[in-house]
Amino acid sequence: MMDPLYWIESYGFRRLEAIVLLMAVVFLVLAVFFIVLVLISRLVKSFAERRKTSYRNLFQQVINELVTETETLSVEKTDAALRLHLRELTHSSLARDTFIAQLVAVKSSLAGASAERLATAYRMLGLDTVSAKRLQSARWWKKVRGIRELTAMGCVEYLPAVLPLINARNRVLQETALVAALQLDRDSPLRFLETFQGTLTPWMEMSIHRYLSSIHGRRLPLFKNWYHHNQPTVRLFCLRMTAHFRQQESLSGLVDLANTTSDPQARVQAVYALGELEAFEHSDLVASQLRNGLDESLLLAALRALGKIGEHRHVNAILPLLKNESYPVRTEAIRSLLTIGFDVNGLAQTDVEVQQACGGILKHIQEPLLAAS
Amino acid sequence: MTALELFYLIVNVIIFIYAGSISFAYLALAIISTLEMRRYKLRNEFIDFRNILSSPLAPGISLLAPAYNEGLTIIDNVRSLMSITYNNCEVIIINDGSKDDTMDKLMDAFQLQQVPFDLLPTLETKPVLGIYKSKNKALKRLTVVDKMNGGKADALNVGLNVSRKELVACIDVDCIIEPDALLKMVKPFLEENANVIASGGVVRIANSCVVEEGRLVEVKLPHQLIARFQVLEYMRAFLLGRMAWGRLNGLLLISGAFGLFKRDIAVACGGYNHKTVGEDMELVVRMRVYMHNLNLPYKVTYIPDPLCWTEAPSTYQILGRQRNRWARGTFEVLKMHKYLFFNKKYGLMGMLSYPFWFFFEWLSPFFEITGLLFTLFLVATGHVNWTFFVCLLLVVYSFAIFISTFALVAEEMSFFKYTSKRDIFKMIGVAMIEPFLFHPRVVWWSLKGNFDLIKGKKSWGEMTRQGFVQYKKGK
Repeated sequence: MMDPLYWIESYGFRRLEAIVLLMAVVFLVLAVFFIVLVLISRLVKSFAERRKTSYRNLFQQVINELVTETETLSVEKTDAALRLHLRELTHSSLARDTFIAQLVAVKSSLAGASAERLATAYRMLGLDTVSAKRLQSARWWKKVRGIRELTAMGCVEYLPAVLPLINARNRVLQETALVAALQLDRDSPLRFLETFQGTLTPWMEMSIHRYLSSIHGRRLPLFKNWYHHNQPTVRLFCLRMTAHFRQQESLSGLVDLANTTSDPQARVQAVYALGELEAFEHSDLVASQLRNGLDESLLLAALRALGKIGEHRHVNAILPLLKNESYPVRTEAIRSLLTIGFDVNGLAQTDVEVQQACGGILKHIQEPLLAAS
Repeated sequence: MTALELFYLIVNVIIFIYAGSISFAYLALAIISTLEMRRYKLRNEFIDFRNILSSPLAPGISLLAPAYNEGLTIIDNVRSLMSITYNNCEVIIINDGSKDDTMDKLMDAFQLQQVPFDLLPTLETKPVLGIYKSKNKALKRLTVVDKMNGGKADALNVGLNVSRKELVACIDVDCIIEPDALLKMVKPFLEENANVIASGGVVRIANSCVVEEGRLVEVKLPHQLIARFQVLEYMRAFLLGRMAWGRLNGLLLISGAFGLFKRDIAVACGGYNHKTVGEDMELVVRMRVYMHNLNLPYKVTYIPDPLCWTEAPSTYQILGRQRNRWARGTFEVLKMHKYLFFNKKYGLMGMLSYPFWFFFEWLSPFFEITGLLFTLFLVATGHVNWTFFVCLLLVVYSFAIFISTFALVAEEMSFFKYTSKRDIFKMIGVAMIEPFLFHPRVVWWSLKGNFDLIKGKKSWGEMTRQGFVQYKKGK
């Protein structure tokens, strides 16, 4: 094959000129290629969209029949309903993917018998094995797609295949597997934490919390089971969930942690949770945390907890903190005293130091327009 | 070889090395950006942002929007900000001593009442005249701060003092923010193991777009050529540049129009610096330096979704002022942080990001003008190899077209905002003429900005805006 440089040089250009000219040609060719790519991409996108739309319209009729079916679904009936479309499903991956996506989308907005029919149709057509096969793919996004489909369709039998992926290196895959393990393990949603070795990110916590908020209170796992997990993020998350769901059954675990743990963050969360649970019988334990003047987070958690518990006998432990050098501590102390019902305004009028340290904060906290925001 | 020939050779070699390096750098950034864009889109395909919307665990965000003489559009702008979808959010408008009726309009429209806000002067600012909340409980998210004029940086610092949330989003009040912008911008703070301290978003051009009641309802390519040039420029910068820097964790600049920061880090660094007109870049650099000095891992991330739309300058005079300011800001920041230059202590920022900005962002117009003057000198002395000169012009032009079409491909493969087929052909046309009609002006403005800085110019310059109100559907 002729050397392009030689070919250019044959027109009277010197070597350096030929190199520069060749570079120019390469860039121009690439630019033209990109232009063609953009134009083709438009065509391909609109063609793919049209095909997808036609499949969606086709399958929507089938799905509507499945959803509104009044008799128990039988294999024959399913085959009869879909026989015109089976060829499309087996020969076209786009058709199959569109159908699965539609099933998942429709099922997520349904409940009860209609949702069950869709899940049954999904299995009868062997689409669960299609989704399960995606779990074997080397590409993480295919695995994610497969997990989401199986989870949406409630295929609990695939939980063992999903569980190992909660420790995957790819973050999105890990998160998806985690949510799947949560939803597919009907008996104990947080059981996967026993084998979880990663770090719970705030995003994962939100996903877990969202699911836990949707299930009945009696099915909530006992969060204290993980207070001593080897992952600190798991421990802290379970403490936060104890507080959020006000799980009284975990109270003993909180008291134990607040007394014995050497993890300062866990202690803070445990004290905070004791406040949310309004554990008045452990108010002395909470008040004793105020003696630790070094950890501001702990002081704030204890003040807030004492405010929630509302016992007047701890007022004397809180009062010195009105003169604390930390603004957040003074603010929380005021809030706590106001919640308990102590007359902080009266104190501020008689004590000049308190007035100087807390006057502005008091006005701020007691302003209705600021309290509302 | 004579001394003169040696001189020619040295100058030629230096210019060649520079041109080769900058081309290689832009190409590398473009490739990294493309790969990262693909990864980002794949990841986002599986994200349900309703998780954040409905979660009590979502971090609080304060939207800080300084306003100066925005009487024409302030009500629409504030309403637009108030409609942003995010539960735990407050909107803080800082009236920076406006001379028009901005404050009066705010007071009337939102039934504001002064409140005894206990303001901690953590950052030193010009005096605050009053803090206001609305008597209407439906507007409980809104806080308006009236202060003496001190400039944008000073106003943002007041906002940082007033803010009580974990994160602060610093925005331009006249930008249109997409309703789900905060949901997308906050995501990196929730998913990364490394401590994300700041997140930047893409700013897109809203000229000629259809806006209704403060919301962008239809994206259109600008009618004016000057705005189209800027569209192409922004595509190159955001889609092919910052995406890559975000991936490398070497981003030095988050647009002042829309950025999300960790409040405690921003305050610990001392807030915005009002000694520079590049305060947005300066804060990001200082936050990074702060984290390096504490030896703490951190990330500055970048979101390529088009979340913020702004009105681009529509005349060359106003655009010139903007670019003048950007050039001055760049140099001021580089000068303030010159200790970063090839300083290993600051990792990638010192060894790559800062040198890149120094050599390829700041120094580039000087090289271009030197190359031009040198060419003129060679022409005058009769030492030009015209064949080689034409070949060089061709390669420079073709590289420019190549990078611009690369940006168009990136746009097409990612967010596909300009859906009309004609728009693509228009943008291809823009890419072809931009090197002749627009780029030389940009170079000239950059040079002028640097000369003005030497002369002691510090002002922002007046940025007259037309406002979005004129682009309403059916009108």
